[in-house]
Amino acid sequence: MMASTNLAKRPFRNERLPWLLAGILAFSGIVVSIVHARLINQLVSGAEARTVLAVRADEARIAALESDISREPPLKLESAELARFRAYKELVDLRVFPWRPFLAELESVLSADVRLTRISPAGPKGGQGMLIEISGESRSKDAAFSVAEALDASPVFSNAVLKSLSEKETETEFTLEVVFDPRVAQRPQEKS
Amino acid sequence: MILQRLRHFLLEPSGAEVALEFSSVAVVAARVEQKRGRAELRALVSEPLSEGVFCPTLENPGFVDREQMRDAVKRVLSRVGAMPQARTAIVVPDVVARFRLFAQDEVQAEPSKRDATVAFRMQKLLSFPQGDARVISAWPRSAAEPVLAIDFSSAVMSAYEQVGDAFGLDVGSVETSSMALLKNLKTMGDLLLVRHDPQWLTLILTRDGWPVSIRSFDVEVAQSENEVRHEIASTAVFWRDRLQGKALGAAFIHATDPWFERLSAQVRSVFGGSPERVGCPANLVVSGIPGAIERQAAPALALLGGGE
Repeated sequence: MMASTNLAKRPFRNERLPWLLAGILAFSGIVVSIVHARLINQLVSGAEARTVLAVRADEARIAALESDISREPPLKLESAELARFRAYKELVDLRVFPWRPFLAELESVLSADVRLTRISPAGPKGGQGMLIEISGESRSKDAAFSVAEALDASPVFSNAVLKSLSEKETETEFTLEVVFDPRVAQRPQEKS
Repeated sequence: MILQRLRHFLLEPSGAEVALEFSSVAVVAARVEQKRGRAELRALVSEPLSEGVFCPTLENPGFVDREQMRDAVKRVLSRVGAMPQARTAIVVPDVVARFRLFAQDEVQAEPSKRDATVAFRMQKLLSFPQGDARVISAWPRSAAEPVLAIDFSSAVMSAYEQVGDAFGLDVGSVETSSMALLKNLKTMGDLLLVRHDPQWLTLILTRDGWPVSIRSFDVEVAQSENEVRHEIASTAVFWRDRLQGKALGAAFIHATDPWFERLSAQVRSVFGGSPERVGCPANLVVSGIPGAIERQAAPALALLGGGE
């Protein structure tokens, strides 16, 4: 029979749950007390005050340094030194090939019966720009010549030279060299 | 499963370590120890009582010869090695309590008022001062089963608890002998339990583990073989006519050896089947205890085997 028929005045109780809860509370109390004691100890020992003082000293030093910087005269460069820096900048700029203006200009000069198969930047061309080798296919020999002429006519390209020309059954393969001047190409962009 | 174990661990009370049983023939003490989650019987001692030393009634704990009772309790407790503050269960005679079954609609009330309602219904049956009375009730899970109410004198019950207190024990479980035995009997179907002591007789019928008939008699019936036979026969008639009983699932008898044979024959003749003695709980590890003492201590052992 599962029913309780216990006649005792004080029946047995399971005291594990109250003990467990009391234990958890006591443990929590001890932990909180320890943390509290450590905080009080820090305050009493002056560690907090020392940290505040150190922060204030750092802030004062930062303010003094900023004041010193503001009192410094503006940087003045000699004209020869300035020219040298500009030359360095141009050199650096030349080493970075400006693909976007190059391709945009190339697209504007190419006719519909020409397609390019290879573009190969070959490096600076005596400070005047960069030598580019371009290979492609055209529907006719005249179209290949027209490409070289169109490139020459563009302000961005110069010295277009047709290096090879080979006629196949349906198309004409060509290779040409042209000098691309990135400074000219970037000028309209700078304006915009 | 884990949740159930946790609930058991945190909420359900642990069992007793020591059991002390009072019957008119002997004082019995037993002590168990928990080993790997199972109770192992470590000691069991029975101290016979002379006739007339212990005569309990509803109004009186029955310690007629206090000296002899005290010595007997002291001896059994010291021999089983009961330590002070040991969790102790006490088995009291059935005759110090009165059992009654109510149909649920007779005592229907809010859960918080159930005991009060049952107590009110039992007031007119009390044979001791109302202020001294205590009533407990046990409610079944099924609405078809009756509510079990037990009333007793708190002064009488306190006298038994004070015996334990006097020896420094922590008494937290007090059960009547029959209720203790029922905790160990979990037969489905119909079951008959006959608890006979020279001072009282209790006949209990259970159906699917819940009591459906409880009849308790005092010394006048218990000592008369004819009366006992008559009451067993009446119980059988009640079972067949009112409870539509067909066949008993099991019949158990707890009595002294001379009475067991007589009761067994009577039960067999009116109920059929073959009654058995109540053994010790299956989950209690027992070894090296003489069978006669083990049989005698069945109610005490039922409270130590985690029968709750």
